[in-house]
Amino acid sequence: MAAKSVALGTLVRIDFDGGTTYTTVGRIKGAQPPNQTGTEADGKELNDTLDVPIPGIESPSEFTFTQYWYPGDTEGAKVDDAFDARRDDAGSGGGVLGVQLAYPHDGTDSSDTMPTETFDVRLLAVAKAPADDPNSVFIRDVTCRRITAITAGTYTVP
Amino acid sequence: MGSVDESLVSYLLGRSGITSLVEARVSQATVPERESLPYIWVNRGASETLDDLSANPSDTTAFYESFDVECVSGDLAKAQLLAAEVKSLHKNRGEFGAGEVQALIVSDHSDHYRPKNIGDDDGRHVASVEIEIIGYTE
Repeated sequence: MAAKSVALGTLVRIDFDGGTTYTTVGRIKGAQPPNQTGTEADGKELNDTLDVPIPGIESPSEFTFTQYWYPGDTEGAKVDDAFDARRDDAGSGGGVLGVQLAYPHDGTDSSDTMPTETFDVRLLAVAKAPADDPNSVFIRDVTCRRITAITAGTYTVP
Repeated sequence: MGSVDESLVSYLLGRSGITSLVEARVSQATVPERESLPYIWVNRGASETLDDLSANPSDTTAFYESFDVECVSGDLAKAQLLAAEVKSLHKNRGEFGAGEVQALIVSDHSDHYRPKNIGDDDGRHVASVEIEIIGYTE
């Protein structure tokens, strides 16, 4: 039976140039890793007695993370730039971001090897939390469209 | 290095509107038995952190800290005048004792709050307020 593990220590690492030089993106309040859902195609034949669809290609999915942020934050501006470039080609300053989610479940020490999920995305939405109280904290949800398959790997904490 | 408690006391004692009424009589945590009136008593209440996924414990410090503040006087009007001085700190920010704050939110205390500086027959009047200290850093 799988052990129970908590999300504490999960890293959201992004290469804003769409490569594999991933770095953390400030304080992440939480993240929704991308789901995986397959499509189905009609597979009925005339002599079938049971309608069993044929497994199809993978459906699109989204990756969302919630970050603490404030206007003027230099690190946060990378998200804004990526949104502006969302329709551009891949490359430096382009519209494709590399994402690596590193999970803590292999261990808890700084030298541990963390299991990862790696994929590319394009920015879809930046939703800022309302500043409707004097004590509201600047938070925003960043939603990305996953555009490549999820690759499993590892990240060794330096 | 101080603490948010000490910074609050220091901040209150740096306000001339307050010291003109209580001089240096701002007590922290322990209810004074024989303090001259009027005085201010402060006590740390609830605190709340803004958690994130980081596994670094040093990243986690209280972001919201609330304090019970009681303005104690033998004269009702003076207790309320003192409370008004404390309430005038509402929405202040910046330098705060040994550190800085992003915001001070001051409000009347809840109707359910039971003041600690009042007995059955000691003739004291207490005006209770709550100070929320947001984003304190040193």
